[in-house]
Amino acid sequence: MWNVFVDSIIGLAKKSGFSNLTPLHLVMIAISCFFIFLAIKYKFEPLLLLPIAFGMLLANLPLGNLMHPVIWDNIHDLQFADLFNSDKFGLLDILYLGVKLGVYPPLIFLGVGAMTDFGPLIANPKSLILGAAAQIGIFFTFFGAMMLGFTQQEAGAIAIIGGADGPTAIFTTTKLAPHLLGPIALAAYSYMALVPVIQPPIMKLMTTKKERCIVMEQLRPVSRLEKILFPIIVAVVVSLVVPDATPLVGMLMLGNLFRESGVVARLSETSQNALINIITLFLGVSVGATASADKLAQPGYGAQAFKIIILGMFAFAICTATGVLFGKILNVISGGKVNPLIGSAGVSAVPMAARVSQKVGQEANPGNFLLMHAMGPNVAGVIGSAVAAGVLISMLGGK
Amino acid sequence: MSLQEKLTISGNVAFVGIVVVFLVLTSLILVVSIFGFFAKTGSGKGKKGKEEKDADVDYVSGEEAEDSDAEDSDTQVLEATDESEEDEVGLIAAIMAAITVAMGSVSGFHISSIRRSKRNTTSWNTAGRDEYHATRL
Repeated sequence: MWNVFVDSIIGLAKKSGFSNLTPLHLVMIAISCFFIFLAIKYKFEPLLLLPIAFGMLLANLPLGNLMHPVIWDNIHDLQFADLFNSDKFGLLDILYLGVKLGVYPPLIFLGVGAMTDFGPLIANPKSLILGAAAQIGIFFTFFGAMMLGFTQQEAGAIAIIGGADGPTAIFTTTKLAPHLLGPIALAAYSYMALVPVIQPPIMKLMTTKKERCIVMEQLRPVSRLEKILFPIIVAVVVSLVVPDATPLVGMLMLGNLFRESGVVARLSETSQNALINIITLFLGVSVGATASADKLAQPGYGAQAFKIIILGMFAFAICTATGVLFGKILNVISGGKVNPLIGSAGVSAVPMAARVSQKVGQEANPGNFLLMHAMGPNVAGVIGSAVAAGVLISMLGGK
Repeated sequence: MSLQEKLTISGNVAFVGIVVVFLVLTSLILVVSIFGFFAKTGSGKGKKGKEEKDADVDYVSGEEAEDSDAEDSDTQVLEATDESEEDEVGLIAAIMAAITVAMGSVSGFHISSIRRSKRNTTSWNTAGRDEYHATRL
């Protein structure tokens, strides 16, 4: 009787997570707890970082069978029937289908579009050039990643971190290098959260006090007709030139049309609240779950993740610098009417980057008010990074 | 992959990528600018602008303020530019009273300009203005 009891306990212990816990699991659990701490204590992009970190935690609890990222990496021709029939298919695997099939990022863009007012951009179309300028760093980073030994596809996925746009980074990575999704998503969202820390020193370094003090003219009012036509024009132009950017830009503009048309208030409301919240939750948890100990155990994966973190920072810094540089050029061309600080907002990260421009500008001149002027390049950056992603996907052979 | 191959690929991707991104966004600038031009022309901007200007009520400080009684320098209320002068003076008195109640003292404050907000302001503008006020007060 006693032996049976002991055997049962031993059998149970062997089937528990403790017996399967490895040092790598512990490392990943510690890392996920650190990200949870950052999200809660310091509010680093908590809406995404918290589900990502907890997804990572769940995926690293042995025998939980919630997610199998290694299996996903080895699937080249999606054989869903085999997957569904196997016993290795957990809850997070099912949620991950939305990432793998490229469904979540465009849906998030739908919500972003419904939340975005393109008025400042329409009022000052020249700010689109700043949205383009801030993408130059992406292509510099591509070069850096290639030099560090990444493949073309991997380099493209890493470079897009510089766009400072989480859904775009995830979309591009799933198309080009899905095996790097975990570290790239974490790097992208971490750096977006660190915009107020990373950008100001670069902005101050590249501008003079006199430039930072420039007060810009008030933007003109934008008519409703302009706001309605804008998403249609952008969707058509961008999709015709870069078809691979259509899923992102198309949904972004659809959401914006919901907002500006004024005739589908319910759809607009749902897109910018319930839908985007649900998708954010699914996206965060399933992307976080791709960072598992099994993957960390793969030779060279840790080193790759470290390089991605470094390259991501490099990409972000260069994109900020090129944005400010073009802000300075516009300032010269306009005869001193453009404050170069708004150029840094071209890196997307809406609306954080625009708020940084406002803050740095107001430090130099307390009476200065750049927020609305910076929103133009800021939303232009969303379009610019989506176009850059489309170019990378198109050129580097993503499917 | 040799270094030369890497450089070639990187250069190609960078060049094409930058050109395409700028091409697309520059095209958008052109299209939006052209459309904005017609939209402004069609809406009769000149007339509307004049009406808005008329609606603005300026209480100018500057030199005129210096000319007025020094003892009343905190509450200088200067020329009204339309017919409803008495109403506007009452408005200024009400605003000054509100400031006094909120701050507990009139020292250090004087109303130099009052301008009517545009009614068709965007939500971004409204949010920005609210934030500006919050940081200033």
